[in-house]
Amino acid sequence: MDPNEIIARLQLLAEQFAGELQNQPTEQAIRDLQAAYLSKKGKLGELQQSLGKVEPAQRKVVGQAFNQAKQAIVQSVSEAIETLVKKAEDVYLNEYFDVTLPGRLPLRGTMHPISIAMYDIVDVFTSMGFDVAEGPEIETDEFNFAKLNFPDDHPARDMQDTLFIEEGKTLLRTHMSPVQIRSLLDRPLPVQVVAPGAVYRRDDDPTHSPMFFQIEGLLVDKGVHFGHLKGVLNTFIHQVFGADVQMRVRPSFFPFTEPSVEVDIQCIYCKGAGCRLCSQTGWIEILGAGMMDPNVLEGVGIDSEVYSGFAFGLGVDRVSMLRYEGISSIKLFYENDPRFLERFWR
Amino acid sequence: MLASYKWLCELAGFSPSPKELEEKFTFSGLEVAGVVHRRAEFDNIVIARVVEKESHPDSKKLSLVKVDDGENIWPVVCGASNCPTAGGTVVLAKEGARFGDLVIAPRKVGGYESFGMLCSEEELNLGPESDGIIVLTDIDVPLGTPVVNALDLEDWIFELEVTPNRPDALCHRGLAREICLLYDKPFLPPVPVGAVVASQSVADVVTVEIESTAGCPRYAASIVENVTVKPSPLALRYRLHNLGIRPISNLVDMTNAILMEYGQPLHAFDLDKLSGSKIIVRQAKDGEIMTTLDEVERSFTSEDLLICDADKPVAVAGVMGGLESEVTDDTTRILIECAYFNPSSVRKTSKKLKLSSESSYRFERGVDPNHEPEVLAAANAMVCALSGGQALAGIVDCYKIPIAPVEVMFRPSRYSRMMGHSVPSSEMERILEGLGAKVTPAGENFNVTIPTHRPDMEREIDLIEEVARLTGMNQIEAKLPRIQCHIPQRDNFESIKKAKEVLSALGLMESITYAFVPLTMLQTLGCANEVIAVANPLNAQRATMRTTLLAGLLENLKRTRSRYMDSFAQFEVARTYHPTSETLPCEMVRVSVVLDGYAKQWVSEPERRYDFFDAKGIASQFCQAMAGSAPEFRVPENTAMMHPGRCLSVFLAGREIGILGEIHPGILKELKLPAGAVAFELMLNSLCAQKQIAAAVPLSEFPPMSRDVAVVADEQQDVGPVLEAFSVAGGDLVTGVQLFDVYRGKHVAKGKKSLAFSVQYRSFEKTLTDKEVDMVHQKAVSAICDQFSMQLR
Ligand SMILES: [Zn+2]
Repeated sequence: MDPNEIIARLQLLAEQFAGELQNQPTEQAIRDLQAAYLSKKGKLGELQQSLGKVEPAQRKVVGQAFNQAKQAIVQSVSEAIETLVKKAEDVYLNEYFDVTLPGRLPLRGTMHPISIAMYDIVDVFTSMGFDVAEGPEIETDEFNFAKLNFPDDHPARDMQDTLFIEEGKTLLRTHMSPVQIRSLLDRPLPVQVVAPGAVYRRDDDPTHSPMFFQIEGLLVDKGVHFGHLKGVLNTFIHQVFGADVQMRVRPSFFPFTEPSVEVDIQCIYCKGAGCRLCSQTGWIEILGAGMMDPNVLEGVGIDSEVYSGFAFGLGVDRVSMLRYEGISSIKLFYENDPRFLERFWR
Repeated sequence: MLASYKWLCELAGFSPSPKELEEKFTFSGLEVAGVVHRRAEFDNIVIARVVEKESHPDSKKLSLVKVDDGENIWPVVCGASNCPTAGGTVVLAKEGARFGDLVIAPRKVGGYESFGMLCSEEELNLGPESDGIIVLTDIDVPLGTPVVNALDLEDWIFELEVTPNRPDALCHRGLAREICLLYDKPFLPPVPVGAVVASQSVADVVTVEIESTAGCPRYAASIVENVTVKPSPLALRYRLHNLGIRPISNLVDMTNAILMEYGQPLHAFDLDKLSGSKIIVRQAKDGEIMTTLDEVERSFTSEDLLICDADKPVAVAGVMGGLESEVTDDTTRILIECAYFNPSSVRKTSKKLKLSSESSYRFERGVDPNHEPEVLAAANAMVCALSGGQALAGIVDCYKIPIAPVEVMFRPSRYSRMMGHSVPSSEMERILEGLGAKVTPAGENFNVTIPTHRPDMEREIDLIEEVARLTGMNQIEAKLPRIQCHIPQRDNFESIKKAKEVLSALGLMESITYAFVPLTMLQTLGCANEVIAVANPLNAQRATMRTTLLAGLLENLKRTRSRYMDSFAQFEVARTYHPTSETLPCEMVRVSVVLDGYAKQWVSEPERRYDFFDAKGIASQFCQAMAGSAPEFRVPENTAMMHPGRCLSVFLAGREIGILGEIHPGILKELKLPAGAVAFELMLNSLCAQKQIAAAVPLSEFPPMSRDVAVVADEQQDVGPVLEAFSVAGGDLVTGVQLFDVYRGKHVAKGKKSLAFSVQYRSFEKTLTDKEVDMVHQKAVSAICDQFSMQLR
């Protein structure tokens, strides 16, 4: 066969390929096209079979032409694919995308604002070396009152309106103090515990809930004095409310501590200038505290001449209300409206 | 306790600044809840004289008067029936005077110009008298003098929060003593004198007999004759009114004034109504009856202490007098009781009768048992001054076993150890003496004789407290204590905290509900067999201690739905309460979850409602996280609370720890909730008891292979066992089996369902070939088809 004719047909096929390559929409179509020309049974392959009919002297020239044509096709295929990929990338980079749609939120739950405040407070005390104690919510009159130096028929009992299970015998604990007694009876000295938990009073109005949460703490050891109480409370206040928050104490009365104090912190909203929240005083009452009454220590078999201790108690609901603005009523805590709960996250 | 600043100054003998006093009170333990300054309200109100009075032509009630305020003559229309004629001295509110929201301005009343208002006691808030205007006699000030000066009305009323340990602060003398101490001045209160004394002595007229010395250690009395009962002078009425006590008559006002000054409750009997010239203090007989001053007939028991005359009870000791022997307008002879009753006895009776009075309030807290003669002298002087009577000589005083002052050793060194702070001995001595104590040095220490007006002080620690509060506790330096390193003990605290953290991480909201629930709710849930009731509940909704947390969570669900929300996923970790034979009930910490309504979705995802498998999945994850191993679910025998076909018992390490399921539709219907809510409730302690430590597993480096298969099974075939059997049949190579489709319909016979599984195979030793996997897979498939009578599809 005339090698020139073969080369001419080869050129024609090359041109034909180049033309067809222009309109291929996908990479697959391009590769299919390449196969249609280059595979054994492809258009070039068929033509190549005529190579055998070429005179041996001229085969080399024709063979080279085939190789060049094939290389050119492979080259243009890879270029075409590259162009196509580039185009797709351009489209991807420039296409419209709505970034204002909401994020796909991973499912998350919430912790109750009272629990959050409770754990935050307890963490401060446990970091200082305090243990955590629990006790029954339905208590005996003895542990809730008698052992805490509330004599029978004493007006101090009027300070806490009690919900009884069996009058004079068992009741819903009115404070966390019975856990102090249980800790002193159950644990070896020195004792340093905080006791968080639910307490109950027979009160139900916009500012009182019949169930609420308290944390009480105590430290009984040799040589514990009132200055230590102030040191521990100061640390607690700085950790929970901020290092610049001042504290002050006012003498008060609790049957189980003597001397007793109420502790105020500088109002965290007005920084002491006076606002509605602090009734213009610049101070907010936050907890009650005092040195353990010797009667209480002696009542659990501790020699009050050798050991001394302090105790303090605070309302967790109140701390939570101070930390989160906008909790207008204590009742919100116990309604558990999802719209309320979802705001808080530990 | 309300206190008059003016009165306190009279007794203290000097006048500190009210503002500073407020601060000093607060920081020495008498919290000032509020101070009312009585002055600005009297602006533009002056003394005036009526110069002309005519009656209104059309109105019988109104008078047309002209009043002289020293500068002008003003026409005023007055509606009071006691409006005086020319010459009468009245109180005129001029233009600009304020009465609440009302501001006085010239206006027409009944057609006539009125330039002001003639004021009544009530309008000026001087007392309760609203019948008629104030007409002043015995007053000698220039017309136009502001009423606040003319009547000496300026005062600061302190509202003090007196703690139960401070009975001494429940009267003005006690507070004045405190003020003198706070300002380092001697306390030298005026001694009342001036009783007109008759020749006859009290002991000649009346005898006192105490049968119950335990209830009444001391009973003293005086007698005043020829009294005239009438209203007290305005100054006394104003003083009592400011202290929240209603002025009644000179005799009653006297007892209240003495109460407020000395803290000693008195009772005035009409002596002519006491029969037999005898006072007997004794326990009541069971069922004995008397009508008290408030006109309530009351019945007594032998625990109650009564004051009786020769025939009958005439007062409930320390609580309230009897109606029959009450002082009335016709009374001419009174017996004034001044006694010391046992605090606990008064409290018992007062609580039992649900009758609390100013008197019982003070007796409960303890009055001074040793000031009776002094108080009676003051009372006699006051009655004579107010009513024109004559006191009989002396008093009767039955006080067989005197209550001696307590003596205590006070160690300044102990003070320093307790407070971490030192106070000079001389300062401690000053404070203790200022409280009324007698202080005798004894080496480094003091012997302190505690005055009987401080019954709360009986131990050294009480004296330490007094020194601390009066020295100022803010100056004591804060120090951190040394805490000894020790074995930590945290009870259940950590596991409860972890349960809350895990469940909130799993997408649920923590709820805290009341521990008391309505009994009906527990009955509806079938959990009311053994319950603990609150003896004095606030209401029926809060009367029974919960036995399941689902009670509270379902109430939350109801509330949530009533507020138009249809997605609910809450949990609670709290206690339930169960009766036992012991004194204290059993309290169990439970973890409960309730899911209902729509699961939260992204905008374009299909809506999905929470169902049984959400509860099951969360329970599995929760147990994994808490106990380190997956729970086992078994079909329970008894499921009153749950849908009988959609319920499981949860087991961990072979021990039942709770239940899970769709809440019984009957229960939801009773609660007016739609069917479909799912829940579980687990016992936290049982759960944590099974705790296992997580362990890592070896990881294969070789590629996985996957095979799908569809089988046809009976409609009633449970899939759970099939999934488990697959793992067994496939041997070690199986790493996972999932059900990815359940199909019923075309090409599947009726009563059958097609189940499509995807099974993953992977070796730890090599890359598996298709052939190897096919062999294992076919063997496994045929094995489970045989086991569960299923056919390949
Ligand atoms: Zn403020």
